[in-house]
Amino acid sequence: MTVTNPRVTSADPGTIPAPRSGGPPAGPRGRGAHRACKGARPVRRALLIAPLLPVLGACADRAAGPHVGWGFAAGLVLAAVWAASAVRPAQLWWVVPAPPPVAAAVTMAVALVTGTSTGKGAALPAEAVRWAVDAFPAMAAAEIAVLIVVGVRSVRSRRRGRSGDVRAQG
Amino acid sequence: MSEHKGEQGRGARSTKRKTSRSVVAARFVVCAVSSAVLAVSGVGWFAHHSLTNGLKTSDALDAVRKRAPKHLDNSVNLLLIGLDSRKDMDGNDLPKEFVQDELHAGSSEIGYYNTNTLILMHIPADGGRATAFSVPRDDYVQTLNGDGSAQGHFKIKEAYSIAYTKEREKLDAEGVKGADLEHRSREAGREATLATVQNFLGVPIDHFAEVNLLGFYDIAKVLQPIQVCLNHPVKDKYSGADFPAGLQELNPRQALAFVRQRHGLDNGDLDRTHRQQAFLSSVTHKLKSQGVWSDLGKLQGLFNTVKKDVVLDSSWDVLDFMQQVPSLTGGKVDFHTLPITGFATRAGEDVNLVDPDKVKEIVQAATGQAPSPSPTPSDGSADARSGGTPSPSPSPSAGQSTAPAGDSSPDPSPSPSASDDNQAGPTVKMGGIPCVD
Repeated sequence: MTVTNPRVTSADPGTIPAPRSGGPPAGPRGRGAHRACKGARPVRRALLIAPLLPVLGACADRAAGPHVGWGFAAGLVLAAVWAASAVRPAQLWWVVPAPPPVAAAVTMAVALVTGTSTGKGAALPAEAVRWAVDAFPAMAAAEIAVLIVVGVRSVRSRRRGRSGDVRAQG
Repeated sequence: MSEHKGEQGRGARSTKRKTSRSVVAARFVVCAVSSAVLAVSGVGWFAHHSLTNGLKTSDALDAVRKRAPKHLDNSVNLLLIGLDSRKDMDGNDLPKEFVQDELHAGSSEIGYYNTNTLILMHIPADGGRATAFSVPRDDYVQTLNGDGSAQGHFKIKEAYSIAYTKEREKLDAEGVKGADLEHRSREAGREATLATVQNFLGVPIDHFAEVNLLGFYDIAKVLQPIQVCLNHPVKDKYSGADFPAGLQELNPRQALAFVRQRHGLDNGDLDRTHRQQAFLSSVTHKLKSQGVWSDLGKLQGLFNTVKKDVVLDSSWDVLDFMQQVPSLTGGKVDFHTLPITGFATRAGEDVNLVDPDKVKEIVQAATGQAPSPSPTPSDGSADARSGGTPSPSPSPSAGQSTAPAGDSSPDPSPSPSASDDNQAGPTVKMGGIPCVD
């Protein structure tokens, strides 16, 4: 019976692969570490580029209308899914809570830069409500998307763990 | 040596423990901040949706926008339409006792669909002073249908009813019945009013709000008691107005009488226009002083009434309006009444004669749509006065106090582009309780 070594994909670079049966353990100092180093580049790329997606979406929305909308939401969801898929499990602690503050910051920044909000004076409470109303659907959608990705990764990782145990016992 | 190694090991373990504790703390902080942002945004989103869901909206502006003059800046022009209808939104008669006793408005057959109040509010892009222009309802102008075709020359208040009647007859012949018949006929009336006012004033209308007698009554009910100030005592059996001079508080029935009275006033309809301006000023002053704009509960009560009785245009974003509200409630609005050149009788009806070019010039200058004109003695209203035509413009010094009662703030400089010289009647400054005749 041929047992193939589970591949480390760029979607889950931080997962330590199960040892090949009969082969050396693939610990942090072995092949896994090498692959993790190789996977660091997509992680960095994801973390650097992903935040730009909601900004681009928001800019497109503002070009078409007075407020952020679908473009911003799509950009934020894509960014959230990309980052949540690319990072190592430990880094998910930072990716999972990211959508709300990122959405709020981008919405606020776009409103202030484009002049739809002043960010001061008597209109500030109404402006703050406007930011919340504009940002909430996108942040909620992105948060749900991230949690789905985390769930999928968790299920996959558990399945791999189980199949690794079976192979080790076999 | 081994002891030294042991110390190093303990140090590394302690650093590791310290690092992991700080990482855990940072994670906790980030998660807490994230949850807070999500929760606050969610509450804001929900509050906005619960406030605005169920608002009655109209697409009437879509037909008019195509022919609107181009905006030269990001300012906003709102048209407030007060409809003299004694019917509900579906065209049903209001209860007879209510119309007679509370509205003091005769019967549901009276009034029809005339727009007795037309006020254009200009909110500048920089958040500075807003300017409001009352259009006298009897101004004799070219009225238009929503598609831009001419109805003819009528009183400006009749554009709505003419289009409403024509559309209703057409739809009735097609077999449309009930509330749908009423809604679609009213939509034609709105389009006609918007097209006519936009054409008459020469500025784009960005949004509108339409309220009828019942709507006015209900809003006054939510906001009561409303403070107003009169220069002289008045008594009028037609409107039911019976008020002493000075500062006083009105209930909804009295508020309606206050803004509807025209009999027994020196300048009739034009004095009524000033009453409406003073009332709006008092209401916005009250909204601000009671903190209604920042109190979700009070705002919900007001919106529940608005949902029932007021029609807003479908592109009117309430949140955008809220951002502009400080300029309206902070004593930053000057009310003006557009000038007329005299009175005349047309087709057996008493009408106001107007100089449309002069009106356009004044409004466009005040709203940044054109360079500010320099008022000259030979303008339309001055000519009319010198020609012996009765002037509608009372002298601001003839006992016409416009100083807000209870407003200690210094009187701001008048709007440079719309001086009282070329306006019918004195400017009513907003930001307190103005005293009017």
